[in-house]
This record gives sequence, C-alpha cells and structure tokens, in this order.
Amino acid sequence: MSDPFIQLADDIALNLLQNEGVLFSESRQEIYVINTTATFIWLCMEDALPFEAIVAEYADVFDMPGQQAAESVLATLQEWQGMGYLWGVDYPNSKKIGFNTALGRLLTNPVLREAFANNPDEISQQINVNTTDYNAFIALDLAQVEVHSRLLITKKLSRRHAAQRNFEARRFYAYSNYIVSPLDSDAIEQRYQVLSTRFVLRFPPVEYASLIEGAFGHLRTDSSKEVDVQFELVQSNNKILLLENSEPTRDCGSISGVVPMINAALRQSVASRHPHFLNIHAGVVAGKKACMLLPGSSGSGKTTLTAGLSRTDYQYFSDEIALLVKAKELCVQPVPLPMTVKSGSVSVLANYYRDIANLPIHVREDNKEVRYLRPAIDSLPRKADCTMPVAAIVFPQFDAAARNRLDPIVKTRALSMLLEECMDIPELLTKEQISDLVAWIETVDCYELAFSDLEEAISLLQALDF
Amino acid sequence: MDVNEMRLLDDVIDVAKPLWLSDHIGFVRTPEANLGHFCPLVPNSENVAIVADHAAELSDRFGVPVILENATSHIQVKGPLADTDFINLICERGNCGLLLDVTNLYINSQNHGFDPIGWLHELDAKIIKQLHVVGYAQVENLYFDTHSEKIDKPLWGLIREVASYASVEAVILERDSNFPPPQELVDELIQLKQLFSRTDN
Repeated sequence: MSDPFIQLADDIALNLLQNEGVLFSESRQEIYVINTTATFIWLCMEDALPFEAIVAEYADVFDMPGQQAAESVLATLQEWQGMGYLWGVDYPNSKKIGFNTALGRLLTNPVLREAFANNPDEISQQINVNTTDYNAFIALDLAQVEVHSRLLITKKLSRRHAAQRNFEARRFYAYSNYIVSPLDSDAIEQRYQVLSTRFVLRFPPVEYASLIEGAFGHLRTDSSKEVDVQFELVQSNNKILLLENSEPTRDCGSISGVVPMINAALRQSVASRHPHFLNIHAGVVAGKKACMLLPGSSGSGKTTLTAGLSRTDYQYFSDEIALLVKAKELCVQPVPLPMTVKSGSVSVLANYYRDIANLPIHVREDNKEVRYLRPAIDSLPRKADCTMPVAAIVFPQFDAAARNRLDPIVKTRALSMLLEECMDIPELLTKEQISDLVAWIETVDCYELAFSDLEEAISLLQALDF
Repeated sequence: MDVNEMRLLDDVIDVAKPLWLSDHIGFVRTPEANLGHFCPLVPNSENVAIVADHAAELSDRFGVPVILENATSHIQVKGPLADTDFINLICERGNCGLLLDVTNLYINSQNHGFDPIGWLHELDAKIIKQLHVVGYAQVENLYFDTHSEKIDKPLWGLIREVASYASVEAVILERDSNFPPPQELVDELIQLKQLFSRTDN
C-alpha cells in the first residue's frame, strides 16, 4: 500500500547511472545527482512503498539498525521535501513551521500547490503552519503563487545566460565609446574560418598586423566565398573598438588588449552561430577516432595539457571551449582558436614550443598577462567543420606538490563536475535530453588527473590510447 | 545572519567604501531551501523586529548607514500591518532608511490593484533616501520588473510625485539588458536630474 501522505512531484525523472542516480526536474531545469542510498530510497518512492516499508528495506539492504535506517530515510525525504521534490514527509507528527517555510514549500512544489488549491485549510494543518502565520498562509492567492513560482524558475534559468548578458553589457560600453571615423582605405583585410563560419577582419596595417597574424594566422582562408561575420578594428574616443557587422561589440584601452578582444569576440560569435547542446569550459584534443575533453576552471592546467598533448599524436581541437553537439551520440566540434597561455606555463611549455617565451604578451580584460599560442598546422583537424565523439573526460588539477596520478572517477561525480564547467545551455533541457546525456556519459571514461610534471602527465594520458 | 556572507561583505565594503549598504525587505532562503529570489514577508510586528534588528546589526558592524528596498512580488501577503506601516516601523526601529524602488511600487500597485500615490503618502517622507527607477515589462495583465525597458509616462508621473514628496539623496537608473543607444539612457538621466534638482531648489 502506498503511503497516504508522501507524494512525489510529477515533473521529476530519475536516471540511473552506475549505482547512483541523476534526478532532473524539467519545470525547474534542475539536475541533482544522488548517491546509491538516496537512489534506493527514490526507487522505493517510485514503487509507492510507505515510509515504514522503505525503512525496513533500507535497513535490510544496507545492513543497519532500524532506528538508524529510519533517521537516514527521514533526513533524505526531508531534504527532498525542502527542494520541492515531494511533500508530506513529516505529517502527521511534524514540527510547526513558519510562513516563510510554508510559502517556500508551495513555491517549489507543484503537487503541493495543487493540493493547496483544493483545500488550503487542510494543507495548512497537514504541514503544520504556526498558528500566528495561519491566516496569512491560507489567504495566499494561488494564482499569484503560481506566477511567483514561475518567476523564480525564470530567474534561475537566466543565470545560465550570464555570459550573454555580460556580452550585452560589454557591447553597451563599447557603444558608449562609439564616435568612429571611417577606417583607413589602406586597411588590411584578412579572412578566417572557424567551423563553417567565415569571418573577415579589417584592421589598420602597421600596428596590429603582426600581432593578429601571430595569434590567428592558422585560421586564415583564401576562400572568396561570402563571409558570415565582418569584424573591424577602429580607433574611437581614445579606445580601440571592435565592430561586428558594423556595430560596436567590444573595446579595449590599448594595443595589448586587441588580440584578447578579438579572440573573445570570435569565440562568442562561433558559439552563437553554431547550434550546440552544451558549451563546456574545456580544452579538447583528438585522437584518430575520438577526442578527450579536459574541463577545468582557470588555473587547473587544462591549457598547458592541451598545448602539450597537441605536440604529440593528438590533434588540437580547442582551448577554453568545447561545443558538444548531438549527432548519433554527443560529439565535439573543433574551435581551434589560439591557446591562451598564462605566464606561469611558459617555461613548462618551452620543451614543446621553442619560441613560446618570445611570443608577444597581451593583457586580457581581467588584467592577466597572456600569450596566444598558435597550434601547429599539422595538429589541426583536416576538415574545419567536423565532429568527433568523446572517448574520455579528464578533469586536470595542477598542483606543484602533487604526485602525478590519473584516477578513474564515478560517472555521477564526472557529470556533476562537467556541468559545473558548463558555460551555456542554449535551450531548455528535456527529460529525454537528460536521459541521453546520462546514457552518453556512461559510455565515456572519466578521470581526475593530479599533476605537477607535464611530461609525465602527458604519458599518463597517452596510455589511455584511443 | 550568515557569517560567511558577512565576511564577504567585509571585503566588498573595504573596496567599495559605500555611502549606504542596501538590501531588500524579503526572504530568499528558508530552513529547507534556497528559493533563489526575493519572497515577501508577512507584515507583522515579529518581522518588523527581525528585519530592523538585522539592519541595525549590519549598520553597527560595518559603520555604514543601511537603507532597505521595497521588493516587487507577485504574491500579496496579508498580515496585521499595512505594508507602509511595516516599512515605517522597520526604518524607525532599525534606524535605517528606505531605498524606494519606484518601479517596484508601480508594478506592485498594478499587479495588486492599489493606488501607488496613496501608498507613497502613507510612508514617512523622511525615511526615503534613495530611489531606483527603470522601465518595466507588461505581459497581458501582469507587470514584471525586468530592468530592461525605458521609463514610460505613467512611471514618470509617479517619479514626479516622489520628487515632490521626499528629499531624495540619490537616484539610480537601473538597466541590466536590452541596452538602447546610450543617448536614450543619457536623456533619461538628464530628465531625472532635472526633476530632482528642481525639487532641491
């Protein structure tokens, strides 16, 4: 018999991944990884087992005393109740709750809202709202609560597009410096291609030519086909302004910021013009038939590893960006913009790139000094617009004191870490897409790499052999 | 209050050296969940005490005057106090000011069907220190605080009313996205400046 009080929210789907679970709330676009014991409890809930039966099964399977099992199951259910994944956990012996907690439960849980619509008074008693807050709670207008609940979701989703808002703000600041005279007639015009997007960049000849060629020369194309995006560098109001299709898009204060500005604009433009499922902050290198993702935050050593691996048997696909697209399985597309090397990695990469110390130093918007490293032509994919499946995901962590080691990690942890490095999810996710994502990562080998020595780290990764 | 957040705020205040420290009147977290955005409190004396005491604690800790902002909410919570009494009492007990978000006031008045000018005049004029203004979005019969639109005529009317009612010390024009050509924002700023300079004279 099912528990008469506990009810699951109906928009949550569980996907099993190894012995653990991935919960997905479609209405809230929330992915939540749960461990083996929590997954067991969720499956019991799906089977509509009453609380006592769940506790008995839990105690049996995980070999623990009944009291301990009861406390553990209750704590898990209460946590989910707070998240809005179910409700009714502690009825009828629940503690009194205040208005804020009660409203929070209504806002997060569509099933509870539905029950509240039918009988607010009964729900108030069931969840045991404080006497002093009772009147305020039962007077809530459910239509207003629904609107506010949707607003909370919208606010949450809008945080996924922080990069886009940042881009808009930059464009606005660039606009505010927009007092432009026409470009000199002797401006240089270069054509580049990334994936299927053809760019033209026009810039004054003397100052910028060698810097731009040094960073983006490997992307040049002789194709006379129509371009998709036109960039122009112009001087305006004591700023150097980058125009994208004649509109100001970014600006910088000096010549040292020009290449970082173009690099960021190209990356943004490619990401926005090529439909993708996820955009991950990662380096990518490719073997003969599959590629390796190296996701990580700044300072993790992913660019250093990507650059080092690109000098071995691997092709260079990208740095700082991995566009995952849906083909038969999730694949990666090459975005071989130059690699952004910080000062600390220069000496480490000198064995692989002899002239790296002589490359010009640029200053990014975050004031970090960087060099832009062009990949060797023979390390680039033959076809600009190709896709490659993923064989391995490696999360690097540089630590000068670490012993080099490559350890497999469980898939749920890998999925959580991958999503932490996700910069953009262009569309609302569906249950089916999450199911596909979970099925995909199950087929991919996932590791953590702690390293202090680049050469040794590369050897460890080469041993993966794909 | 959250000790870690206080420590982070220490750093921000060290760098920014702000004239005021501001936050919204409302709650974001419950003991069970982080809701991610402001939700309305019951306007009652218990919440007056909680909010006012938090404001006083912040002000004492950081040595910066605290101003509290009226939030927009699609939920109208009915309590023993009127919203305006709730705010007046908080400011009195907490020795803090009001950051009057004129747009939030206008949006709430339209969504909940009350007179914004009457609401304004129920506030103690002395507590109003700073204003936030920005246009709003309207979808069917609901108004939303999107920080992405220009100020329209009815809102200008309410702003004018505030200018004649209170001695405001600062006005912030908010805009987070959907940026227009800069001149459009400059025009709005000039209009605001004229409105509040005239009031000062």
